[in-house]
Amino acid sequence: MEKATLEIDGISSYNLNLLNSAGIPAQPIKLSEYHLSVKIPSNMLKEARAVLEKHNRIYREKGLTGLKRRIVTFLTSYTLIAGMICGAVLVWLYSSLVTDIEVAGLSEITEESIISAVLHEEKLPVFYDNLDNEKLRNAVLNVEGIAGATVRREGTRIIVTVSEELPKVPVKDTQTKGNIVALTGGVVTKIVVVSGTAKVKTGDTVRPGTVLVESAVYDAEGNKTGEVVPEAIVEARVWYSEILEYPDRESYLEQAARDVQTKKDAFTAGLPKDKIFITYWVKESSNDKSVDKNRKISIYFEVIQSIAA
Amino acid sequence: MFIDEVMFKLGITPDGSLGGDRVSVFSGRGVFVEGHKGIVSFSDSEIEIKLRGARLKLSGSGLSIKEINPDEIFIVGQVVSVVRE
Repeated sequence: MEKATLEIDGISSYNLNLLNSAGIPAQPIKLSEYHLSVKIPSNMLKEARAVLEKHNRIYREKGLTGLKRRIVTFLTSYTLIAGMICGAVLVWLYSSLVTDIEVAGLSEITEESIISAVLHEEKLPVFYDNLDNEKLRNAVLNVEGIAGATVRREGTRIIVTVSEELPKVPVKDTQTKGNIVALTGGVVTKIVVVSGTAKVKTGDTVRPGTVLVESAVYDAEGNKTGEVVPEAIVEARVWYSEILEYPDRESYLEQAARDVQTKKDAFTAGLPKDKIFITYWVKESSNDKSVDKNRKISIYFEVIQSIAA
Repeated sequence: MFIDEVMFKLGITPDGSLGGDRVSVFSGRGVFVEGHKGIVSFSDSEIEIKLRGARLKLSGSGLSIKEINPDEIFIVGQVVSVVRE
């Protein structure tokens, strides 16, 4: 049975008799003439309080005894110890584990590519004893555009410091004295010759390989006076085409309209910066010679781009 | 001898309706009092218990009240004398 302890001041025999008169069984623990320490059943604590207060007794409750007290004692003492042990374990774990990656020194390359290269080699969290910095460094060096890297541990983090490769500068050939030819066919819209002799003019239609600017230079009479390294800006209207084919049936036009729009969107979205989209048009034809007489939709995209090579 | 037999010889009915009390002494090591009316005084050497129409004086050494409830008191210690006054 769970018991509560009461400490009651005053004449002990009187106080015991008070408890008795209220029908409360008591087990004195300490008994002196003017001080009584007594155990009573917990379920009679309320009656005990009532009778002691009714008779103006000075008393203190010392808390529960029995199973509940033992549980409370256990929870307060062992929980504290368990908490301290858990805390110590957590501190140890926290100080022993590497949980994060920090990358420094990036400008062009994304942090994600470095982190993924590191994580490919080592899954986090990892005990720092198991960490192989050299292996991680090699993984980082394998990332494209990385010239150098250092890997070190700092607390719970891996610090990766990288230096990127210098950007590739386009090399311009200033020695070879060759002609500038058209890379692709089109109608010349602009030609600016810095050195050399222009062989085409605005409005000319050129084919791939057509000489645009010659390395030879001539005098007013047309006599060749020498050769230079030609340099020029040549732009032209260029057409690209795509062909869609449909079986000969009534509803193909509806489908073709959707396909043309999709093709146009895809073409303009994928256009490089040095090409300027002008317009597009569609031409329809049927393949009458074919057995199934299928329908053909040709899409022409018109762009302006540099054609000089 | 059984307690019932003792009671019979004393002319006490088994239900204790005599309204009195019963004091059991255990080899001088403890006293069990039934039907008490409270404690009058106590010390290590002497405990006085109120009974109906009488008082019970226990003398001895190391006396202490082990348990008390409205009907019974159990006193432990070296009991030397039990006097009913």
